[in-house]
Amino acid sequence: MRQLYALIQKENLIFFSGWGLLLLGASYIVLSMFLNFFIGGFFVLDNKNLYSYFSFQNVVFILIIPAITMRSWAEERKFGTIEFLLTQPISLAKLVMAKYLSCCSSVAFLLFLSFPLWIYCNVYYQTDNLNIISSYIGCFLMGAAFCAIGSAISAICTSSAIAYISTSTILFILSFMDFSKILYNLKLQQATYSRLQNSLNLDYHFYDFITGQISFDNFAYFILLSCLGIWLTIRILEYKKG
Amino acid sequence: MIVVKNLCKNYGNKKAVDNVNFGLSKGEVVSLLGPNGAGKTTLMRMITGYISPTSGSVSIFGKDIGEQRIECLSQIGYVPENGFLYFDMSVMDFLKFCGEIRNIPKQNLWQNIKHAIEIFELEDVVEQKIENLSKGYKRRVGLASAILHNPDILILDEPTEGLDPNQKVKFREFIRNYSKEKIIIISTHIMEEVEALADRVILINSGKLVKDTSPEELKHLFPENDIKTAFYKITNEVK
Repeated sequence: MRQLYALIQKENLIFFSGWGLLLLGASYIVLSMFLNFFIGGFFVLDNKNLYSYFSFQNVVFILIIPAITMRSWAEERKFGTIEFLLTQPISLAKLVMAKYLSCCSSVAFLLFLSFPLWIYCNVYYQTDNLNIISSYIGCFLMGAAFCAIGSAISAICTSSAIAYISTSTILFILSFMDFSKILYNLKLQQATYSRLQNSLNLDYHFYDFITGQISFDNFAYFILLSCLGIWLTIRILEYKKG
Repeated sequence: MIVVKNLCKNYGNKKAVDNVNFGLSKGEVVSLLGPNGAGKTTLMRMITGYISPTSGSVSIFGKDIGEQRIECLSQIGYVPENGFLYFDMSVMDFLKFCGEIRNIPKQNLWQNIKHAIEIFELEDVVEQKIENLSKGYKRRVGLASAILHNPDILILDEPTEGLDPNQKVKFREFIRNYSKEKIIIISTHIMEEVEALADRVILINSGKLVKDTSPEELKHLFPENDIKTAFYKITNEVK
């Protein structure tokens, strides 16, 4: 536990010491609020669940989270510090988990920046706070899954820029891909077809959260996606050793 | 003890390390010698488990580095050739981080850090960011971090690069004191260092172990009685 904590602390120290965090926070707030006020129709909608804000979080995360994860492994490789990390008496799984948890803490920080909006809504509107909490949980789980995928891509790349572009592209495909065309060719029964289509779609699970319909499969989807990303990162690092 | 057995590493068709065998015991200071691209760094990286061998094995005190990586690495202090320091951290933060990820007990951590700082004379720069340090200081921070957990094996790749003559003398003194009950592997191109420090020389050329002898013997292999000439003649002979 002490090793894991030291690694997370190191990651955060490096990330939070420069301008990185400030720039990231500012970009997140500007982008989120722009989409919320100008496209989401914050003042037009009945905003009891902050739908105008949360409904664009998947788009915002596709642009912001790769900036958090791109440096995870790509920069360690670029500066040679990966040799230091991989020759320490610590398991690969712990190293990967530490970087993943550090990225997740950045996601939590970004979401925390939107709290004033929640407070504002509580003062001026009749809000459905349980629905808002469910939306925050959904956003965090989606962000965590994106972090795991971004971390795996960063483990392949030596350049942060390439890691950013590749992660954004993959997250975009994962979020907006229409699985119906692939599944249609499998000639499945209608019920199985629509069930499978919904299960695979990231947006479908995310929208369940922001509309307050939390269910086990939504949690399982994002947790499994995170596990897959973490597992892939470990495998990639092991492969690169050989 | 370190036992390197039939160790090979291929990069495509190129054999970076080709069937290398040797054993090292406590109290030995071994110098890995060889021209650029001979395979010294690859060999050290395999001993530290950073890269996996194509074939062969490395065992550290009877444990295979591939199978019991964590147990083996807890007994190794490694300073790679190129910058492995986190430039955004201060010297103190970096040393503390190194101590914590090596699981040094809390009660010993500060004592070990203080000891390492004293040995490598880092008192004036402990609060400075590593990126602002000179090359020599960066090297000293690296060396200090490697001995924090008092490892039984110290593996140093070009350790004196960037050190001033005074620091080089102090480094040699440190190695002499530290080597009594430890295994030290030093990769260097500086022949004076080999003569001053090493009990044993392992000469590598084109991935192959071409000589495993003492510096004294190496020196007297040729009529010139000079270690530099011996190095030159052996490495060119093999080519």
